[in-house]
Amino acid sequence: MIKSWLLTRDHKKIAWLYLGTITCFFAIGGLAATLMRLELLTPTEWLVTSDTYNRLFTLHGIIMVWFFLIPSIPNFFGNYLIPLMIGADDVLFPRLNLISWYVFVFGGAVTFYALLRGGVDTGWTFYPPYSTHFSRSFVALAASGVLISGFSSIFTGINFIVTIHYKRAEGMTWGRLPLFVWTHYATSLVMLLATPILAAVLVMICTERIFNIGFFDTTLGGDPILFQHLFWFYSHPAVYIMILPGMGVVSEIVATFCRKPIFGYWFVVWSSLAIALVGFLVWGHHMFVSGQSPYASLIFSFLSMAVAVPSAIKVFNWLATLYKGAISFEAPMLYGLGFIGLFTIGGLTGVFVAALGFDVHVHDTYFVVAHFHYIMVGGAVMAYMGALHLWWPKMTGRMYPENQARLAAVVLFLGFNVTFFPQFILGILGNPRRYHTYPPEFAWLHQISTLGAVLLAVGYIYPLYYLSRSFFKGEKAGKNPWQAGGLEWTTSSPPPEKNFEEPVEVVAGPYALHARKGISP
Amino acid sequence: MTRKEARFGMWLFLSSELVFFSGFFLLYAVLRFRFMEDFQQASKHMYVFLGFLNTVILLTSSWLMALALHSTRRKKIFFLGGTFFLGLLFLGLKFYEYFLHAKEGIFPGFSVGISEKLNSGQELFMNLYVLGTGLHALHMIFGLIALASLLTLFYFHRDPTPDALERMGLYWHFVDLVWLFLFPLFYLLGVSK
Repeated sequence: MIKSWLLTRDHKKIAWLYLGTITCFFAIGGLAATLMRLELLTPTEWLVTSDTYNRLFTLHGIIMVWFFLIPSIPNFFGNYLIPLMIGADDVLFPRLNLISWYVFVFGGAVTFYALLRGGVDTGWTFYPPYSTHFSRSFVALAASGVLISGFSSIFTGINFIVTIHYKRAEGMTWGRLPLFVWTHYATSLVMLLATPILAAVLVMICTERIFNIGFFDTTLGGDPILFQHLFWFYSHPAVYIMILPGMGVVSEIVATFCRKPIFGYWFVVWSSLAIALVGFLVWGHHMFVSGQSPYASLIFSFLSMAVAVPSAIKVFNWLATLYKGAISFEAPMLYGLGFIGLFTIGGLTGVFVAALGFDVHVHDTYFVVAHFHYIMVGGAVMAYMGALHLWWPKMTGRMYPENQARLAAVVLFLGFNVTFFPQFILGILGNPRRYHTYPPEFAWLHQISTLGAVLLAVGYIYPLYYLSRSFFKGEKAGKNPWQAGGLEWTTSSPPPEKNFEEPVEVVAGPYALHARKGISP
Repeated sequence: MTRKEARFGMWLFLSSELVFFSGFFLLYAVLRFRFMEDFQQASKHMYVFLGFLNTVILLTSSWLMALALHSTRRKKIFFLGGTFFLGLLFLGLKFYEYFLHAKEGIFPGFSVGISEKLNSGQELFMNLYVLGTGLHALHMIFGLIALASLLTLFYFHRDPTPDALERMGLYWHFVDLVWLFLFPLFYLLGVSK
């Protein structure tokens, strides 16, 4: 039994392995966030020292970015659904798929070991010279763990691209691919071409720290800004690794619960690819106050605003799909609508911070923290939760309790806003991030934020309870409980080992109920 | 899984490798722009003849690798073995060079008092040299491991497919190409007319 799981090459089982792993990491990262929010209840130090606080936000950042957000939707849902959605029996390299899980777990274990030994105090960005010469924590070990997990990203990216190219069923043309698959195609390109730069720069940090073979060392004339360039050349596109799959999920959710194909299919497709492309060219907006050339800042500012265009195209297309749709408000739809609203706020505040003058005012304040949490939690995690509910019946064969799920979605939405909206105000007022104490006049906003975090925690723990319960006790879901289009809904729930009993032939577009030949709605 | 699919996967992997090395080359470009003179001076510490010899060895190994693709079983084993041997020779010479640099007291990270022998720009050059050729050597080692496993498969009469050899070749040529950039950037920089 255990062996059949650990040596499996079935993409569905590997996806479940990922789910287990990333849920553990999410819990660890969430625990760190909880401790931080508790510390921030009072303006003075009461729970943790400043050093522990540094280690906590670093742990939270590293775990959430590299061990939850980046693998979350692609490695769990992407792995599970892409072969099903294109009518294939598996991904093209099943063994590589399993290897990439092992690599991910190994990288996670190395990082986790570093964190157990006492953690890292540099922040998740590893900026030198702090990370190379001055930090007295386990930088090299944690960086190696991240480096190793990067290979898992690259392997997954390769696997998805080749699978989407060569494993599509008869009649599944590029124009009939569900938008979920398209966004994963774009994501895989980013994974493939951005992750190696992270690998390169982490190698450089490690050589500088371990062997004293330095490149960013200012005493030699090396350049710490160069590190920031290289780091953000990966880490900004990484934001799109986190959000693009979420956009794919929301496209599926909106189409399913409006009973309508997505409005402007090709616009959504091309905007995904445009985001992936332009996303590579905006990294300098993290460095407006680093002393880079003002002309470079000008161009980065322009390009960062330009990347809002394809994102906005998607939002408008979802809204146009909602227009005159037969909308029903099941839990996944609530999460999907939450995504659209929160992502819009996160995206628009992104345009604020892309403006040179405004960015100087809010740089390294809670405004930035709130902005990227609106994208990553309000966007990516909302989409993740939506996907979990939308495909739960497909993956387990059981329905989750609808009313409880709706309640949880509302709690999560409220908790999120109560937590992070006050942080916009804190940032505008000038409260810098990454300090464990703050002037007493900010106390009430921080206390509201901590209160919200409690609600947020309930919003995460409650689904964990009812979903695991429904795994054993939920009522049986049929093949297609949502009456959704898409090939994954034409096979049994959960799908058999080879996904489809009969050979698949596709005769219509992605959101048509009669898309698969021989299957009537 | 057929020929073109696996080959496509290999090309994707190589594109990712290309980006990996481009991070290094960017670093080189920026630092060389800043320390033009020092880089030329430091380059005089390179053992140009050994580097040249290694270039010839690596190109020959790539040639053998290419020959191995379309030949009889016996010749395949012979050519692959030759590739493996030359790769090993390359690494041997490379580490001998490292040893010579260490003896000279200018191997960064290990030589104590390196900053008395070199100024900071030259030291950065040596750092880049060790990183660049080190990463290349690491890729060579992975290549040699792959070659060794292909040869083992031949030994047990479970011959690898021509496609597997082709993918091996793609990787080997890629690593070879990286060296073709490293060689002039480090060794030929200080050669005067």
